[in-house]
Amino acid sequence: MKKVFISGNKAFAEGAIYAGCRYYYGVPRSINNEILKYMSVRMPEVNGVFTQSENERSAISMVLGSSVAGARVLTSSITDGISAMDEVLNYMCGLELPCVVGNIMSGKFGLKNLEPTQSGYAQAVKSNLSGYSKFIVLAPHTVQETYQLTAKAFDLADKYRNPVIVLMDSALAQLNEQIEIEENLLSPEIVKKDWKVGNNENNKNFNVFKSYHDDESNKYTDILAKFKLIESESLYESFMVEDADEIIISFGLIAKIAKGIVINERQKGRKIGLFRPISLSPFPKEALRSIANKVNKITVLESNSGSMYSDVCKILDNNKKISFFGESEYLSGFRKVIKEFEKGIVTV
Amino acid sequence: MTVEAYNPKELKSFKDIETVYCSGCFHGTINRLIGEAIDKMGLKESVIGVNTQGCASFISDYMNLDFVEAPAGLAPSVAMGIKNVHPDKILLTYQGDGDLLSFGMSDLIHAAAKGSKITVFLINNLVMAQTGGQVSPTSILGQITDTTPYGKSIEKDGNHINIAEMIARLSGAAYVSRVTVDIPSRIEQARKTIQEALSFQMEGKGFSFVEFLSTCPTYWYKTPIESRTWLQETLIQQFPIGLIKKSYTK
Repeated sequence: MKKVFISGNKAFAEGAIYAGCRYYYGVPRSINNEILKYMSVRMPEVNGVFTQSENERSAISMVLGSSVAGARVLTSSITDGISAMDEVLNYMCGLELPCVVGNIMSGKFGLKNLEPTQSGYAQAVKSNLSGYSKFIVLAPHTVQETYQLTAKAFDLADKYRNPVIVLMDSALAQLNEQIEIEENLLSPEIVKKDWKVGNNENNKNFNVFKSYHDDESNKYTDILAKFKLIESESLYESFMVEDADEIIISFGLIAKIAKGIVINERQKGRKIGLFRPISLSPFPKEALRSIANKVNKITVLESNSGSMYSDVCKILDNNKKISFFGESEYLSGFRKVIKEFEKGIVTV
Repeated sequence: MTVEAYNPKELKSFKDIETVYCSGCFHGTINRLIGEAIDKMGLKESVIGVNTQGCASFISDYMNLDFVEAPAGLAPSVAMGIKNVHPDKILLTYQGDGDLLSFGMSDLIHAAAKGSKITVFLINNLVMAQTGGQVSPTSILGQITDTTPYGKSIEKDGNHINIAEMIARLSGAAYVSRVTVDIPSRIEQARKTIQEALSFQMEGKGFSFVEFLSTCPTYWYKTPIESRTWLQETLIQQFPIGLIKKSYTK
Protein backbone atom coordinates (compact mmCIF):
# COMPACT_ATOMS: atom_id res chain seq x y z
CA MET A 1 0.00 0.00 0.00
CA LYS A 2 1.17 3.52 -0.68
CA LYS A 3 -0.27 6.88 0.25
CA VAL A 4 -1.18 9.34 -2.48
CA PHE A 5 -3.01 12.67 -2.57
CA ILE A 6 -5.40 12.50 -5.53
CA SER A 7 -8.84 13.57 -6.70
CA GLY A 8 -11.92 11.38 -6.94
CA ASN A 9 -11.52 11.30 -10.72
CA LYS A 10 -7.96 9.96 -10.47
CA ALA A 11 -8.92 7.50 -7.72
CA PHE A 12 -11.62 6.19 -10.07
CA ALA A 13 -8.99 5.71 -12.81
CA GLU A 14 -6.46 4.14 -10.42
CA GLY A 15 -9.08 1.74 -9.00
CA ALA A 16 -9.78 0.53 -12.53
CA ILE A 17 -6.09 0.14 -13.39
CA TYR A 18 -5.54 -1.82 -10.16
CA ALA A 19 -8.41 -4.17 -11.10
CA GLY A 20 -6.77 -5.03 -14.43
CA CYS A 21 -8.56 -2.61 -16.71
CA ARG A 22 -6.34 -1.74 -19.67
CA TYR A 23 -8.87 -0.14 -22.01
CA TYR A 24 -10.38 3.28 -21.51
CA TYR A 25 -12.56 5.05 -24.07
CA GLY A 26 -13.98 8.47 -23.34
CA VAL A 27 -15.14 11.82 -24.62
CA PRO A 28 -14.34 15.29 -23.21
CA ARG A 29 -17.24 16.48 -21.04
CA SER A 30 -16.53 19.10 -18.35
CA ILE A 31 -15.73 17.21 -15.11
CA ASN A 32 -14.83 14.08 -17.08
CA ASN A 33 -11.89 15.83 -18.78
CA GLU A 34 -9.58 15.12 -15.86
CA ILE A 35 -10.10 11.36 -16.27
CA LEU A 36 -9.30 11.60 -19.99
CA LYS A 37 -6.13 13.56 -19.38
CA TYR A 38 -5.03 11.19 -16.61
CA MET A 39 -5.80 8.04 -18.61
CA SER A 40 -3.97 9.36 -21.68
CA VAL A 41 -0.82 9.31 -19.52
CA ARG A 42 -1.50 6.24 -17.34
CA MET A 43 -2.77 3.77 -19.94
CA PRO A 44 0.44 3.75 -22.03
CA GLU A 45 2.39 3.34 -18.77
CA VAL A 46 0.59 0.07 -18.01
CA ASN A 47 0.57 -1.13 -21.66
CA GLY A 48 -3.09 -0.23 -21.98
CA VAL A 49 -5.11 1.51 -24.68
CA PHE A 50 -6.56 5.01 -24.35
CA THR A 51 -8.80 6.34 -27.11
CA GLN A 52 -10.63 9.62 -27.25
CA SER A 53 -13.76 8.89 -29.27
CA GLU A 54 -15.82 11.28 -31.35
CA ASN A 55 -18.96 10.92 -29.22
CA GLU A 56 -20.39 8.87 -26.34
CA ARG A 57 -22.14 6.41 -28.63
CA SER A 58 -18.88 5.53 -30.28
CA ALA A 59 -17.01 5.38 -26.94
CA ILE A 60 -19.48 2.90 -25.46
CA SER A 61 -19.44 0.90 -28.73
CA MET A 62 -15.69 0.49 -28.37
CA VAL A 63 -16.36 -0.57 -24.78
CA LEU A 64 -18.79 -3.18 -26.14
CA GLY A 65 -16.11 -4.39 -28.56
CA SER A 66 -13.37 -4.73 -25.96
CA SER A 67 -15.79 -6.31 -23.50
CA VAL A 68 -16.97 -8.95 -25.96
CA ALA A 69 -13.29 -9.67 -26.66
CA GLY A 70 -12.88 -10.54 -22.97
CA ALA A 71 -11.12 -7.46 -21.57
CA ARG A 72 -11.88 -5.39 -18.48
CA VAL A 73 -12.92 -2.04 -19.93
CA LEU A 74 -13.91 1.37 -18.62
CA THR A 75 -15.63 4.52 -19.80
CA SER A 76 -17.01 7.57 -18.03
CA SER A 77 -18.97 10.71 -18.67
CA ILE A 78 -21.24 13.18 -16.96
CA THR A 79 -24.90 12.26 -16.49
CA ASP A 80 -25.88 13.89 -19.78
CA GLY A 81 -23.24 11.97 -21.70
CA ILE A 82 -24.40 8.68 -20.19
CA SER A 83 -27.84 9.37 -21.69
CA ALA A 84 -26.21 9.22 -25.12
CA MET A 85 -24.79 5.79 -24.25
CA ASP A 86 -28.12 4.30 -23.24
CA GLU A 87 -28.89 2.44 -26.46
CA VAL A 88 -25.59 0.58 -26.41
CA LEU A 89 -25.74 -0.07 -22.65
CA ASN A 90 -29.14 -1.64 -23.26
CA TYR A 91 -27.51 -3.97 -25.79
CA MET A 92 -24.75 -4.79 -23.33
CA CYS A 93 -27.33 -5.78 -20.68
CA GLY A 94 -29.06 -7.97 -23.26
CA LEU A 95 -25.88 -9.55 -24.61
CA GLU A 96 -24.66 -9.95 -21.00
CA LEU A 97 -21.41 -8.07 -21.45
CA PRO A 98 -19.54 -6.71 -18.43
CA CYS A 99 -18.15 -3.18 -18.28
CA VAL A 100 -17.72 -0.38 -15.76
CA VAL A 101 -19.13 3.08 -16.44
CA GLY A 102 -18.35 6.17 -14.38
CA ASN A 103 -21.38 8.45 -14.13
CA ILE A 104 -20.29 11.84 -12.78
CA MET A 105 -23.43 13.59 -11.66
CA SER A 106 -23.48 17.21 -12.73
CA GLY A 107 -26.04 19.56 -14.19
CA LYS A 108 -29.75 19.77 -13.67
CA PHE A 109 -31.25 20.16 -17.11
CA GLY A 110 -29.09 19.28 -20.10
CA LEU A 111 -25.79 21.07 -19.98
CA LYS A 112 -27.14 24.26 -18.43
CA ASN A 113 -25.49 25.00 -15.11
CA LEU A 114 -22.86 22.31 -14.79
CA GLU A 115 -23.12 22.45 -11.05
CA PRO A 116 -22.69 19.55 -8.63
CA THR A 117 -25.96 17.69 -8.11
CA GLN A 118 -27.12 14.12 -7.56
CA SER A 119 -29.06 14.17 -10.80
CA GLY A 120 -27.91 10.71 -11.94
CA TYR A 121 -29.71 8.57 -9.34
CA ALA A 122 -32.84 7.83 -11.33
CA GLN A 123 -30.89 7.44 -14.56
CA ALA A 124 -28.53 4.86 -13.06
CA VAL A 125 -30.97 2.98 -10.83
CA LYS A 126 -34.13 3.06 -12.92
CA SER A 127 -32.22 3.58 -16.19
CA ASN A 128 -33.52 5.08 -19.41
CA LEU A 129 -33.14 1.66 -20.99
CA SER A 130 -35.78 -0.88 -21.86
CA GLY A 131 -37.85 -2.12 -18.96
CA TYR A 132 -35.81 -5.32 -18.78
CA SER A 133 -32.28 -3.96 -18.46
CA LYS A 134 -30.81 -3.09 -15.09
CA PHE A 135 -27.45 -1.95 -13.81
CA ILE A 136 -25.53 -2.62 -10.64
CA VAL A 137 -24.95 0.87 -9.16
CA LEU A 138 -22.29 1.75 -6.57
CA ALA A 139 -22.11 5.20 -4.96
CA PRO A 140 -18.88 6.10 -3.11
CA HIS A 141 -18.79 8.92 -0.54
CA THR A 142 -15.02 9.47 -0.19
CA VAL A 143 -12.05 9.42 -2.55
CA GLN A 144 -10.73 6.26 -0.84
CA GLU A 145 -14.06 4.53 -1.34
CA THR A 146 -14.13 5.63 -5.00
CA TYR A 147 -10.86 3.75 -5.50
CA GLN A 148 -12.10 0.60 -3.73
CA LEU A 149 -15.57 0.52 -5.25
CA THR A 150 -14.26 1.01 -8.80
CA ALA A 151 -12.01 -2.02 -8.34
CA LYS A 152 -14.93 -3.98 -6.85
CA ALA A 153 -17.15 -2.88 -9.74
CA PHE A 154 -15.01 -4.91 -12.16
CA ASP A 155 -15.42 -8.06 -10.04
CA LEU A 156 -19.19 -7.61 -9.90
CA ALA A 157 -19.37 -6.86 -13.65
CA ASP A 158 -17.47 -10.05 -14.51
CA LYS A 159 -19.26 -12.21 -11.92
CA TYR A 160 -22.74 -11.31 -13.18
CA ARG A 161 -21.84 -10.33 -16.77
CA ASN A 162 -23.62 -6.99 -16.45
CA PRO A 163 -22.64 -3.31 -16.77
CA VAL A 164 -21.83 -1.65 -13.42
CA ILE A 165 -22.22 2.10 -12.83
CA VAL A 166 -19.97 3.97 -10.40
CA LEU A 167 -22.10 6.98 -9.48
CA MET A 168 -19.94 9.89 -8.33
CA ASP A 169 -20.95 13.37 -7.19
CA SER A 170 -19.07 15.83 -9.38
CA ALA A 171 -17.84 17.55 -6.20
CA LEU A 172 -16.37 14.19 -5.13
CA ALA A 173 -14.76 13.76 -8.56
CA GLN A 174 -12.88 17.02 -8.04
CA LEU A 175 -12.20 16.58 -4.33
CA ASN A 176 -8.59 15.83 -3.38
CA GLU A 177 -7.91 13.52 -0.44
CA GLN A 178 -5.04 11.41 0.83
CA ILE A 179 -5.80 7.77 0.14
CA GLU A 180 -4.04 4.42 0.22
CA ILE A 181 -3.66 2.55 -3.05
CA GLU A 182 -2.23 -0.89 -3.88
CA GLU A 183 1.28 -0.96 -5.27
CA ASN A 184 0.93 -4.28 -7.14
CA LEU A 185 -1.66 -4.25 -9.88
CA LEU A 186 -3.88 -7.26 -10.57
CA SER A 187 -3.36 -9.16 -13.82
CA PRO A 188 -5.63 -8.10 -16.71
CA GLU A 189 -6.29 -11.83 -17.33
CA ILE A 190 -7.60 -12.35 -13.80
CA VAL A 191 -10.93 -13.78 -14.98
CA LYS A 192 -11.15 -16.55 -17.58
CA LYS A 193 -13.91 -15.89 -20.09
CA ASP A 194 -14.90 -18.83 -22.31
CA TRP A 195 -17.71 -16.87 -23.88
CA LYS A 196 -15.53 -14.19 -25.46
CA VAL A 197 -14.94 -13.82 -29.20
CA GLY A 198 -11.47 -14.59 -30.52
CA ASN A 199 -11.10 -17.41 -27.99
CA ASN A 200 -8.30 -19.50 -29.46
CA GLU A 201 -8.61 -22.27 -26.88
CA ASN A 202 -12.08 -23.08 -28.07
CA ASN A 203 -11.77 -23.28 -31.83
CA LYS A 204 -14.58 -25.70 -32.51
CA ASN A 205 -17.43 -23.63 -31.12
CA PHE A 206 -17.98 -20.13 -32.38
CA ASN A 207 -19.33 -17.50 -30.08
CA VAL A 208 -22.12 -15.53 -31.68
CA PHE A 209 -23.71 -12.58 -29.87
CA LYS A 210 -27.05 -11.49 -31.21
CA SER A 211 -30.09 -9.77 -29.80
CA TYR A 212 -32.74 -11.98 -31.34
CA HIS A 213 -33.14 -15.68 -30.74
CA ASP A 214 -34.51 -18.23 -33.14
CA ASP A 215 -33.99 -21.26 -30.92
CA GLU A 216 -34.35 -22.06 -27.25
CA SER A 217 -30.74 -23.15 -26.75
CA ASN A 218 -29.44 -19.69 -27.57
CA LYS A 219 -31.42 -17.85 -24.91
CA TYR A 220 -29.63 -15.64 -22.46
CA THR A 221 -30.22 -15.68 -18.74
CA ASP A 222 -33.46 -14.24 -17.47
CA ILE A 223 -32.54 -10.74 -16.30
CA LEU A 224 -35.00 -10.92 -13.38
CA ALA A 225 -33.54 -14.18 -12.11
CA LYS A 226 -30.08 -12.65 -12.40
CA PHE A 227 -31.04 -9.61 -10.35
CA LYS A 228 -32.51 -11.87 -7.65
CA LEU A 229 -29.01 -13.33 -7.29
CA ILE A 230 -27.44 -9.88 -7.31
CA GLU A 231 -29.65 -8.86 -4.34
CA SER A 232 -27.16 -10.63 -2.09
CA GLU A 233 -24.44 -8.17 -3.12
CA SER A 234 -26.11 -5.14 -1.55
CA LEU A 235 -23.82 -2.89 0.48
CA TYR A 236 -24.58 -0.24 3.07
CA GLU A 237 -23.08 1.64 5.97
CA SER A 238 -24.96 2.37 9.19
CA PHE A 239 -23.42 5.15 11.24
CA MET A 240 -24.39 5.62 14.90
CA VAL A 241 -27.76 3.93 14.46
CA GLU A 242 -27.61 1.50 17.42
CA ASP A 243 -29.41 3.79 19.89
CA ALA A 244 -30.77 6.32 17.40
CA ASP A 245 -34.37 7.39 17.36
CA GLU A 246 -34.05 9.37 14.16
CA ILE A 247 -31.94 8.67 11.06
CA ILE A 248 -30.83 10.44 7.92
CA ILE A 249 -30.71 8.42 4.68
CA SER A 250 -28.24 9.72 2.16
CA PHE A 251 -25.82 8.53 -0.53
CA GLY A 252 -22.64 9.78 -2.17
CA LEU A 253 -20.89 12.94 -1.01
CA ILE A 254 -24.07 14.23 0.63
CA ALA A 255 -23.81 11.25 3.02
CA LYS A 256 -20.43 12.62 4.07
CA ILE A 257 -22.05 15.96 4.87
CA ALA A 258 -24.79 14.06 6.71
CA LYS A 259 -22.12 12.30 8.78
CA GLY A 260 -20.92 15.73 9.90
CA ILE A 261 -24.47 16.66 10.85
CA VAL A 262 -24.81 13.42 12.86
CA ILE A 263 -21.55 14.01 14.74
CA ASN A 264 -22.50 17.64 15.51
CA GLU A 265 -25.96 16.76 16.72
CA ARG A 266 -24.71 13.80 18.77
CA GLN A 267 -22.47 16.17 20.71
CA LYS A 268 -25.60 18.07 21.66
CA GLY A 269 -27.17 14.85 22.91
CA ARG A 270 -29.59 14.29 20.03
CA LYS A 271 -29.93 10.56 19.20
CA ILE A 272 -29.44 10.70 15.45
CA GLY A 273 -27.79 8.26 13.03
CA LEU A 274 -27.09 7.82 9.33
CA PHE A 275 -28.03 5.02 6.93
CA ARG A 276 -25.98 5.14 3.74
CA PRO A 277 -26.75 2.75 0.87
CA ILE A 278 -23.46 2.05 -0.91
CA SER A 279 -25.04 -0.07 -3.62
CA LEU A 280 -28.05 1.85 -4.92
CA SER A 281 -28.94 -1.10 -7.13
CA PRO A 282 -29.39 -3.64 -5.55
CA PHE A 283 -30.72 -1.39 -2.77
CA PRO A 284 -30.06 -2.75 0.77
CA LYS A 285 -33.78 -3.14 1.46
CA GLU A 286 -33.71 -5.58 4.37
CA ALA A 287 -31.07 -3.60 6.25
CA LEU A 288 -33.05 -0.40 5.78
CA ARG A 289 -36.29 -2.02 6.95
CA SER A 290 -34.72 -3.43 10.12
CA ILE A 291 -33.12 -0.08 11.03
CA ALA A 292 -36.24 1.93 10.12
CA ASN A 293 -38.37 -0.22 12.44
CA LYS A 294 -36.40 1.01 15.45
CA VAL A 295 -36.57 4.75 14.78
CA ASN A 296 -39.31 7.36 15.00
CA LYS A 297 -38.23 9.78 12.32
CA ILE A 298 -36.51 9.36 8.95
CA THR A 299 -35.16 12.15 6.75
CA VAL A 300 -34.00 11.48 3.18
CA LEU A 301 -31.32 13.98 2.24
CA GLU A 302 -30.24 14.17 -1.41
CA SER A 303 -29.43 16.79 -4.01
CA ASN A 304 -32.20 16.15 -6.53
CA SER A 305 -35.96 16.25 -6.76
CA GLY A 306 -36.47 13.13 -4.65
CA SER A 307 -35.35 10.13 -6.70
CA MET A 308 -34.15 8.08 -3.72
CA TYR A 309 -36.93 9.44 -1.49
CA SER A 310 -39.57 7.70 -3.63
CA ASP A 311 -37.58 4.44 -3.47
CA VAL A 312 -37.24 4.67 0.31
CA CYS A 313 -40.98 5.36 0.68
CA LYS A 314 -41.75 2.30 -1.42
CA ILE A 315 -39.38 0.06 0.52
CA LEU A 316 -40.77 1.27 3.87
CA ASP A 317 -44.34 0.96 2.61
CA ASN A 318 -45.07 4.73 2.63
CA ASN A 319 -44.43 5.07 6.35
CA LYS A 320 -45.59 8.52 7.47
CA LYS A 321 -42.48 9.28 9.48
CA ILE A 322 -40.34 9.77 6.32
CA SER A 323 -39.57 13.33 5.26
CA PHE A 324 -37.54 14.55 2.32
CA PHE A 325 -35.00 17.32 2.01
CA GLY A 326 -33.72 17.83 -1.52
CA GLU A 327 -31.44 20.81 -1.80
CA SER A 328 -30.92 22.12 -5.29
CA GLU A 329 -28.18 24.57 -4.37
CA TYR A 330 -25.91 21.74 -3.22
CA LEU A 331 -23.09 22.89 -0.93
CA SER A 332 -24.37 26.40 -0.21
CA GLY A 333 -27.84 24.97 0.18
CA PHE A 334 -26.62 22.27 2.52
CA ARG A 335 -25.26 24.88 4.90
CA LYS A 336 -28.89 25.86 5.26
CA VAL A 337 -29.79 22.21 5.86
CA ILE A 338 -27.21 21.94 8.63
CA LYS A 339 -28.65 25.05 10.32
CA GLU A 340 -32.15 23.62 10.11
CA PHE A 341 -30.99 20.34 11.57
CA GLU A 342 -29.46 22.31 14.42
CA LYS A 343 -32.84 23.81 15.09
CA GLY A 344 -34.30 20.32 15.03
CA ILE A 345 -36.61 21.26 12.17
CA VAL A 346 -36.59 19.62 8.81
CA THR A 347 -38.44 21.05 5.85
CA VAL A 348 -40.70 18.54 4.22
CA MET B 1 -11.69 -16.13 -68.08
CA THR B 2 -11.89 -19.04 -65.71
CA VAL B 3 -14.11 -18.93 -62.69
CA GLU B 4 -13.05 -20.91 -59.65
CA ALA B 5 -15.80 -23.25 -58.52
CA TYR B 6 -16.30 -24.09 -54.87
CA ASN B 7 -18.48 -26.86 -53.59
CA PRO B 8 -20.59 -25.22 -50.88
CA LYS B 9 -20.52 -28.51 -48.91
CA GLU B 10 -16.75 -28.21 -48.60
CA LEU B 11 -16.72 -24.63 -47.32
CA LYS B 12 -15.64 -24.30 -43.71
CA SER B 13 -16.49 -20.68 -42.95
CA PHE B 14 -19.87 -20.73 -44.69
CA LYS B 15 -22.84 -22.91 -43.72
CA ASP B 16 -24.59 -24.50 -46.69
CA ILE B 17 -28.13 -24.00 -45.37
CA GLU B 18 -31.30 -22.30 -46.57
CA THR B 19 -31.25 -18.53 -46.03
CA VAL B 20 -34.04 -16.09 -45.21
CA TYR B 21 -33.07 -13.71 -48.02
CA CYS B 22 -35.70 -12.85 -50.69
CA SER B 23 -35.37 -14.19 -54.26
CA GLY B 24 -32.99 -12.15 -56.35
CA CYS B 25 -31.26 -10.55 -53.35
CA PHE B 26 -27.46 -10.51 -53.53
CA HIS B 27 -26.90 -10.97 -49.76
CA GLY B 28 -26.70 -14.78 -50.06
CA THR B 29 -24.09 -14.63 -52.82
CA ILE B 30 -22.03 -12.06 -50.91
CA ASN B 31 -22.20 -14.12 -47.67
CA ARG B 32 -20.90 -17.13 -49.56
CA LEU B 33 -18.16 -15.14 -51.33
CA ILE B 34 -16.91 -13.87 -47.96
CA GLY B 35 -16.85 -17.47 -46.72
CA GLU B 36 -14.96 -18.60 -49.83
CA ALA B 37 -12.43 -15.79 -49.53
CA ILE B 38 -11.81 -16.53 -45.84
CA ASP B 39 -11.40 -20.25 -46.56
CA LYS B 40 -9.05 -19.58 -49.44
CA MET B 41 -6.87 -17.39 -47.25
CA GLY B 42 -7.00 -19.93 -44.39
CA LEU B 43 -8.28 -17.30 -41.96
CA LYS B 44 -11.23 -19.20 -40.47
CA GLU B 45 -9.75 -19.23 -36.97
CA SER B 46 -8.78 -15.57 -36.96
CA VAL B 47 -11.78 -13.72 -38.38
CA ILE B 48 -14.24 -11.97 -36.05
CA GLY B 49 -17.29 -10.41 -37.70
CA VAL B 50 -19.50 -7.59 -36.54
CA ASN B 51 -22.99 -7.36 -38.01
CA THR B 52 -25.64 -4.79 -37.24
CA GLN B 53 -29.28 -4.04 -37.87
CA GLY B 54 -31.16 -4.67 -41.08
CA CYS B 55 -31.01 -7.58 -43.52
CA ALA B 56 -27.24 -7.60 -43.03
CA SER B 57 -27.78 -8.86 -39.48
CA PHE B 58 -28.63 -12.37 -40.74
CA ILE B 59 -25.07 -13.12 -41.86
CA SER B 60 -24.14 -14.48 -38.43
CA ASP B 61 -26.59 -17.36 -38.96
CA TYR B 62 -24.82 -18.50 -42.12
CA MET B 63 -21.15 -18.27 -41.12
CA ASN B 64 -19.02 -20.52 -38.93
CA LEU B 65 -17.30 -17.51 -37.40
CA ASP B 66 -17.35 -15.52 -34.18
CA PHE B 67 -19.94 -12.79 -34.69
CA VAL B 68 -21.10 -9.86 -32.59
CA GLU B 69 -24.24 -7.86 -33.25
CA ALA B 70 -23.71 -4.12 -32.82
CA PRO B 71 -26.44 -1.52 -32.32
CA ALA B 72 -27.47 0.43 -35.42
CA GLY B 73 -24.52 2.02 -37.21
CA LEU B 74 -21.95 1.31 -34.52
CA ALA B 75 -20.21 -1.73 -36.00
CA PRO B 76 -16.94 0.10 -36.95
CA SER B 77 -16.50 1.28 -33.34
CA VAL B 78 -17.30 -2.17 -31.95
CA ALA B 79 -14.78 -3.69 -34.37
CA MET B 80 -12.14 -1.16 -33.28
CA GLY B 81 -12.82 -2.10 -29.64
CA ILE B 82 -12.30 -5.80 -30.44
CA LYS B 83 -9.21 -5.06 -32.55
CA ASN B 84 -7.63 -3.20 -29.61
CA VAL B 85 -7.88 -6.38 -27.53
CA HIS B 86 -7.04 -8.83 -30.36
CA PRO B 87 -4.62 -7.01 -32.71
CA ASP B 88 -3.78 -10.36 -34.35
CA LYS B 89 -7.37 -11.08 -35.43
CA ILE B 90 -9.05 -10.01 -38.67
CA LEU B 91 -12.06 -7.77 -38.02
CA LEU B 92 -14.78 -7.31 -40.60
CA THR B 93 -18.08 -5.49 -40.39
CA TYR B 94 -21.04 -6.34 -42.61
CA GLN B 95 -23.49 -3.47 -42.91
CA GLY B 96 -26.28 -2.19 -45.11
CA ASP B 97 -26.51 1.32 -46.53
CA GLY B 98 -29.24 2.46 -44.12
CA ASP B 99 -27.27 1.23 -41.15
CA LEU B 100 -23.82 2.44 -42.18
CA LEU B 101 -24.71 5.74 -43.86
CA SER B 102 -27.79 6.87 -41.93
CA PHE B 103 -27.09 5.73 -38.40
CA GLY B 104 -23.35 5.20 -38.44
CA MET B 105 -21.81 7.81 -40.74
CA SER B 106 -19.67 9.40 -38.03
CA ASP B 107 -18.35 6.04 -36.79
CA LEU B 108 -17.43 5.08 -40.36
CA ILE B 109 -15.67 8.36 -41.19
CA HIS B 110 -13.69 8.37 -37.93
CA ALA B 111 -12.70 4.71 -38.27
CA ALA B 112 -11.44 5.44 -41.78
CA ALA B 113 -9.72 8.68 -40.78
CA LYS B 114 -7.92 6.93 -37.92
CA GLY B 115 -6.70 4.29 -40.36
CA SER B 116 -8.22 1.56 -38.17
CA LYS B 117 -7.05 -1.90 -39.15
CA ILE B 118 -10.54 -3.18 -39.89
CA THR B 119 -12.46 -4.03 -43.07
CA VAL B 120 -15.92 -2.60 -43.66
CA PHE B 121 -18.23 -4.34 -46.14
CA LEU B 122 -21.11 -2.13 -47.27
CA ILE B 123 -24.01 -3.91 -48.93
CA ASN B 124 -25.66 -1.08 -50.86
CA ASN B 125 -29.16 -1.97 -52.03
CA LEU B 126 -30.47 1.64 -52.10
CA VAL B 127 -33.25 1.10 -49.53
CA MET B 128 -33.70 0.36 -45.85
CA ALA B 129 -35.05 -3.06 -46.66
CA GLN B 130 -35.65 -4.87 -43.38
CA THR B 131 -37.65 -1.99 -41.90
CA GLY B 132 -40.01 -1.97 -44.85
CA GLY B 133 -38.28 -0.30 -47.78
CA GLN B 134 -37.86 3.30 -46.66
CA VAL B 135 -35.63 5.81 -48.49
CA SER B 136 -31.92 5.51 -47.69
CA PRO B 137 -28.95 7.88 -48.22
CA THR B 138 -28.04 5.93 -51.36
CA SER B 139 -31.50 5.89 -52.97
CA ILE B 140 -31.23 7.52 -56.38
CA LEU B 141 -33.32 10.41 -57.70
CA GLY B 142 -36.80 9.38 -58.73
CA GLN B 143 -36.68 6.12 -56.78
CA ILE B 144 -40.04 5.12 -55.31
CA THR B 145 -39.71 3.91 -51.73
CA ASP B 146 -42.01 3.46 -48.75
CA THR B 147 -41.33 7.04 -47.60
CA THR B 148 -40.82 8.68 -51.02
CA PRO B 149 -44.08 7.62 -52.68
CA TYR B 150 -43.68 10.36 -55.33
CA GLY B 151 -40.04 9.50 -55.99
CA LYS B 152 -36.88 10.81 -54.31
CA SER B 153 -36.51 14.46 -55.27
CA ILE B 154 -33.45 16.68 -55.35
CA GLU B 155 -35.28 19.59 -53.67
CA LYS B 156 -36.67 17.63 -50.78
CA ASP B 157 -34.31 14.70 -50.24
CA GLY B 158 -31.08 15.64 -52.02
CA ASN B 159 -28.97 13.36 -54.15
CA HIS B 160 -27.48 10.01 -53.18
CA ILE B 161 -24.16 9.60 -51.36
CA ASN B 162 -21.26 7.92 -53.14
CA ILE B 163 -19.56 6.91 -49.94
CA ALA B 164 -16.70 4.87 -51.46
CA GLU B 165 -15.37 7.94 -53.30
CA MET B 166 -15.71 10.03 -50.11
CA ILE B 167 -13.84 7.46 -48.00
CA ALA B 168 -11.06 7.27 -50.60
CA ARG B 169 -10.25 10.95 -49.93
CA LEU B 170 -9.16 10.12 -46.38
CA SER B 171 -5.51 9.27 -45.97
CA GLY B 172 -6.30 6.58 -43.38
CA ALA B 173 -8.21 4.58 -46.00
CA ALA B 174 -5.76 2.19 -47.69
CA TYR B 175 -8.07 0.12 -49.85
CA VAL B 176 -11.40 1.22 -51.33
CA SER B 177 -13.31 -0.63 -53.99
CA ARG B 178 -16.83 -1.02 -55.35
CA VAL B 179 -18.00 -4.35 -56.77
CA THR B 180 -21.18 -6.13 -57.69
CA VAL B 181 -22.16 -9.79 -58.12
CA ASP B 182 -24.59 -9.78 -61.04
CA ILE B 183 -22.58 -11.93 -63.51
CA PRO B 184 -19.92 -14.68 -63.03
CA SER B 185 -16.96 -12.50 -64.03
CA ARG B 186 -17.94 -9.80 -61.52
CA ILE B 187 -18.55 -12.48 -58.85
CA GLU B 188 -14.98 -13.68 -59.39
CA GLN B 189 -13.76 -10.07 -59.21
CA ALA B 190 -15.71 -9.53 -55.98
CA ARG B 191 -14.06 -12.54 -54.34
CA LYS B 192 -10.63 -11.26 -55.29
CA THR B 193 -11.53 -7.84 -53.95
CA ILE B 194 -12.60 -9.33 -50.60
CA GLN B 195 -9.29 -11.18 -50.38
CA GLU B 196 -7.33 -8.06 -51.24
CA ALA B 197 -9.21 -5.94 -48.67
CA LEU B 198 -8.58 -8.52 -45.95
CA SER B 199 -4.90 -8.82 -46.90
CA PHE B 200 -4.51 -5.01 -46.58
CA GLN B 201 -5.79 -5.35 -43.03
CA MET B 202 -3.51 -8.33 -42.30
CA GLU B 203 -0.50 -6.40 -43.46
CA GLY B 204 -1.50 -3.48 -41.24
CA LYS B 205 -1.76 -1.02 -44.10
CA GLY B 206 -4.85 0.72 -42.83
CA PHE B 207 -8.60 0.90 -43.25
CA SER B 208 -10.15 -1.16 -46.05
CA PHE B 209 -13.61 -0.65 -47.48
CA VAL B 210 -15.58 -2.65 -50.06
CA GLU B 211 -18.97 -1.52 -51.32
CA PHE B 212 -21.15 -4.25 -52.85
CA LEU B 213 -23.76 -2.82 -55.20
CA SER B 214 -26.70 -5.07 -54.42
CA THR B 215 -30.34 -5.62 -55.29
CA CYS B 216 -33.60 -5.55 -53.36
CA PRO B 217 -36.35 -6.86 -55.67
CA THR B 218 -38.92 -6.76 -52.83
CA TYR B 219 -38.58 -3.02 -52.18
CA TRP B 220 -37.59 -2.00 -55.67
CA TYR B 221 -41.01 -3.48 -56.57
CA LYS B 222 -39.37 -5.44 -59.42
CA THR B 223 -38.84 -9.09 -60.32
CA PRO B 224 -35.34 -10.54 -59.71
CA ILE B 225 -34.57 -10.35 -63.45
CA GLU B 226 -35.85 -6.75 -63.74
CA SER B 227 -33.84 -5.81 -60.68
CA ARG B 228 -30.65 -7.17 -62.15
CA THR B 229 -31.30 -5.36 -65.43
CA TRP B 230 -31.98 -2.08 -63.59
CA LEU B 231 -28.72 -2.53 -61.66
CA GLN B 232 -26.77 -3.17 -64.86
CA GLU B 233 -28.38 -0.43 -66.96
CA THR B 234 -28.96 2.37 -64.44
CA LEU B 235 -27.20 1.89 -61.14
CA ILE B 236 -23.71 1.11 -62.40
CA GLN B 237 -23.68 4.59 -63.99
CA GLN B 238 -24.47 6.18 -60.62
CA PHE B 239 -22.20 3.86 -58.65
CA PRO B 240 -19.26 3.03 -60.97
CA ILE B 241 -17.74 -0.33 -60.09
CA GLY B 242 -14.03 -1.00 -59.90
CA LEU B 243 -11.03 -0.26 -57.72
CA ILE B 244 -11.13 3.29 -56.31
CA LYS B 245 -8.05 3.45 -54.11
CA LYS B 246 -5.16 1.18 -53.29
CA SER B 247 -2.40 3.01 -51.57
CA TYR B 248 -0.29 2.77 -48.52
CA THR B 249 1.24 5.95 -47.21
CA LYS B 250 2.86 5.91 -43.82
